[in-house]
Amino acid sequence: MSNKESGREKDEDLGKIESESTTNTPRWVKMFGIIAIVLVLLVVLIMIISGGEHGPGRHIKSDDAVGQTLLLKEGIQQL
Amino acid sequence: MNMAPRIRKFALTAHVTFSVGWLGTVIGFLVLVVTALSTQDTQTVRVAWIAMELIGWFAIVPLAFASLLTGLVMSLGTKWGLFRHYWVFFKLSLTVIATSVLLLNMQTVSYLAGIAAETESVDIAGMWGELLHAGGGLLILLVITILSIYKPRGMTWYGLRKQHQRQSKIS
Repeated sequence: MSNKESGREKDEDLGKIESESTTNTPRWVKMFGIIAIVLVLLVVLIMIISGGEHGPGRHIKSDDAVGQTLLLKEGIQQL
Repeated sequence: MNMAPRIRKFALTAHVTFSVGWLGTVIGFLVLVVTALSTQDTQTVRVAWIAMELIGWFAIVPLAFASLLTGLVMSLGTKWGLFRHYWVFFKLSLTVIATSVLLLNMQTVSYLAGIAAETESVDIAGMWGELLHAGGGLLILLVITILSIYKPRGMTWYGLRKQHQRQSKIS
């Protein structure tokens, strides 16, 4: 890329800052917001369905966590 | 406050390096998860948990914080600002969310890696959770990269107010 071209790109980038004066929220921002809300609701729903437990605690539900993982190991060996 | 061009270039180089590094290490983490899920060898799964803990704490977490920090410097040191443009605001929000989820998830990884290291047993079910977390993280990082390159137009209410203030000062 020539210096002239890269200089033009830089000007265009910085020019964007000065040229934006519209008060309307852009369509991409609305779409982004809707997707974000849907994803947050999905995560909340998954957490509710899974009993609200998250993090290391969910792996030590039983009294004998090691026993549980050993069972998993045996399960793998049987495959 | 605007940075001098040389400092700005240096800060931008650092920010891109840390951000791309973060993306790369997450891909490395995902490779370990997929390997563990597709193997029947318990030793491989054990080693995967241990390696995931190491790559998480010593590569992904530091790179995430370095990317966040250099991103803050870039925003505050240029005309883009932190809350003036939607794309910068979304980038910051996604980075903060990704870093927070990463820190929470690393507690689980450390716990399960500890079991794998100390008891010679493995938790394969936990790997599915890691696939979800690392996959989601990778998706967020790709969205952040796209926002950085395309810089879609749109100023926030705060950005417009600042712009009007600046214009009225000039006139």
